[in-house]
Amino acid sequence: MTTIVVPAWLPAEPELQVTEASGAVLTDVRAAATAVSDVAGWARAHGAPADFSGDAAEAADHAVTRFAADTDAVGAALERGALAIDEFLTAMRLRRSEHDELMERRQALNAERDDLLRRIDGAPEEQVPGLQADAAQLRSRFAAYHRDLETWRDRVDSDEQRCVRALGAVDQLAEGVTAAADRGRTDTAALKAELTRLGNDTDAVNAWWNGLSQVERNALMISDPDVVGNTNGIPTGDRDEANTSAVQRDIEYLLGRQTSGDELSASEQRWLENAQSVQLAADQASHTKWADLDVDAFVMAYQPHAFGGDGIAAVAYGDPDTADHTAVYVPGIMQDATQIDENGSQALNLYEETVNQMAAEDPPRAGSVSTIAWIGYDSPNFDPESMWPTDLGDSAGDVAHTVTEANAQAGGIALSQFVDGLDSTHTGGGQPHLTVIGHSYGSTTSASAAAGGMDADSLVLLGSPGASEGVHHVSDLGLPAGQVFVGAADHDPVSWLGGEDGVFPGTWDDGLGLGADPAQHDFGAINFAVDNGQEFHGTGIVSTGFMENHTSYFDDPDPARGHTNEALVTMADIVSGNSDAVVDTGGRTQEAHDYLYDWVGGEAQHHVVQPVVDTYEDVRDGVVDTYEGVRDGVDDAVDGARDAWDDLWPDRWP
Amino acid sequence: MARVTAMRSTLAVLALVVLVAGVTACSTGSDEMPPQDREKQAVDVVTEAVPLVEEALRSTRAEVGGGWSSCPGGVGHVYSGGGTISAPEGDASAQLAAVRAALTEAGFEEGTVVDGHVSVSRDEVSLDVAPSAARGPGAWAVSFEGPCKRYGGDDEHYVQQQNLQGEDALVP
Repeated sequence: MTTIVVPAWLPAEPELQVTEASGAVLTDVRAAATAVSDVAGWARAHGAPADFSGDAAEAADHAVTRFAADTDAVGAALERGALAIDEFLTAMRLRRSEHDELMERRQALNAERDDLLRRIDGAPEEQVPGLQADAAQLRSRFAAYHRDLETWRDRVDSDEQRCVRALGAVDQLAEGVTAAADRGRTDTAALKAELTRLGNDTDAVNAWWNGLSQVERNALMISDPDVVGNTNGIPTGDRDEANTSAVQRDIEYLLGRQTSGDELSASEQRWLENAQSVQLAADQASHTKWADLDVDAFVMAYQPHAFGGDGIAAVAYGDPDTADHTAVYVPGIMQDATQIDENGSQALNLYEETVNQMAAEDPPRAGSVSTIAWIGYDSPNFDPESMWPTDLGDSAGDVAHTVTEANAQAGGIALSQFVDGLDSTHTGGGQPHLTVIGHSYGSTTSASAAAGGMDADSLVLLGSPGASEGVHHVSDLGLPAGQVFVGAADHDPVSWLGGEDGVFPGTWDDGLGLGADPAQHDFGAINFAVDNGQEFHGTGIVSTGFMENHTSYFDDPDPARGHTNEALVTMADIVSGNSDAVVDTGGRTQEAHDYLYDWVGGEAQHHVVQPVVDTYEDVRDGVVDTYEGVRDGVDDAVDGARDAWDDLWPDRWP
Repeated sequence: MARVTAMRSTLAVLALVVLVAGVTACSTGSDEMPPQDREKQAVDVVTEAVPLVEEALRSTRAEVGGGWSSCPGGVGHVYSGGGTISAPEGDASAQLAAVRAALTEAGFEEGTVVDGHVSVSRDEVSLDVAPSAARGPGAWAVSFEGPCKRYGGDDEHYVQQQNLQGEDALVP
């Protein structure tokens, strides 16, 4: 009897229990380490209270100094713990990748085994030597697989042991004291100083950061998460880790205060809202609505105290450091960091639509996408819930910036630096294709950045109140030919404000205004079709004009409010680099101000003239058969009222 | 020239009045019904419509969640959400037609027909269904949204707390 020895079928190796979600442990430890570091810093900076003297002062000084030393020891221990966890998680990421490769190998080997068994079954005697040779070769490859699997298991075990040892080495206060006194402990003050010195040179920041050891990066993320998380040029993943720790630290601190009965001040409440909104923005990528997109969220900026508490926040969906197509969405008026979750949902909508548009091409196009909601400038806004006169005064001052460009110009510089950072951190040496999308006042900010030399490939201006000072034509924006796109709904009142002469040409407001209307045909951009929104009257300017027509460019079709999704589909084509698919509608031939003029005229006609005419006509109808003279007189009056109106209100802006 | 100046002044005053009136109405107005009722409207639409879509697509899995969030511009709150329906891959046009028929026959109103979508509404709640390759083969994206409304007092506290507490699982 002939024997052919076929290797045993290979079972699947269970997946590692440590997943990406396990990173939450690192976030917790870093947040705790940062909080302790802050306390230690405070204690070092404070001795006895100023009004203490003599023995009391000395005792207090000793107590505070001792407290500072103990706290620093705890901080040093947590720092080492965080480093150990970070190294472990990094190792596990590699092990998961190796596991995937091993399981692919296993599948292939099992398939070959099945094929060999099929060939053996019923094979004639003359094929036996060949089949035996094949079986021997397969056994050899199975043995190699078993060896590699064993080696992989040993590595996992070794990684775990190393982490456990590192954590065990700092689980006593004495060990923390030793760690704190370690001469080799990272000098985070020096690192921070160097990072600050590098400033806005994002390439230099990126090179410097990548040159640090993991120990140094970990220490700086703990001591200064606010700096690491908000410096352009630091890789997105590290910014996210630093910012996520800072967000968690702040939420735990502020909610802890509330839980213990403290009433938060208005600015602290705002701080909490900022932190919670950033957390929501990051978390919503895994909510049921979006979970199946399987897209990672990255917190790219978190500065809750910036701009008087309005805050700075940016969240990316998909990693912009590896994406083939990246979009930066810049919101406008009324947006601050407490709105990053809502803006993040619009970025997620754009993410999904972009991937879908690429998949719908013939043939389907592969490529990774990242969309970023960026509120990194001081957008004009006010708190709509505010009722106190002083608050309303502040709000009026803030929102008054809408008619001036100061915030847009400053924001344009910040936006340009953010984009430079994205270029520096992309693993391919620069963003392959980057689109900036500015909405409302954000379009003025984006246009200002473009005119100043922002390094973007495509620019989209949505519902724009103006393309910023000095920009008279698309060529002034410095983008490649055919890469500036404009979407403006006819019934979007913000898009009626553009024009180089202000709303009232030749009058007091010529120094105000936000520049040329980019939707004009003569401006030279590519205008794309959008849902024009619904007409509105009176107070509908807010509910329909602003809240629906001005804010629906990123929406799915919405039959209850009568909107389609034309803008979203077109933007997805632009973001994916398929701008040839964008149809140019030609743009406006009527001045933007004329839309406003027509609307106000229509309102006056509707609310003032028409009631007068209606009253006249009621009178006339009541006397029609009785007093012909009166009737004729009333008819004359109606005609007179209409003529007077036509005379007062010409068809076009004078 | 005098007429032009007068006209501009008129325009300025009218525009100001309308804007102030609009903002005032916005900042003092509120929903005519409590947020729990708004929420129920949306939940009713989702829990009635999604099973119809599942049946039309012969779905193998459906998950839809919803929750309160702030509206664009920070004025008001909205109950909205969405999820994924997984179904065997097929002729997308025929599947869309089947979904459309199922929903309109059940009395949902269809708005403007948008390529690749079925969008219906009821009680101010919009619901959109569309195939989504971004979610994987055979996946359909579902999204829904109620109206943006402003709430005060306990109602405002309710929607803000719900926003922070995360989403509700509506289907299954």
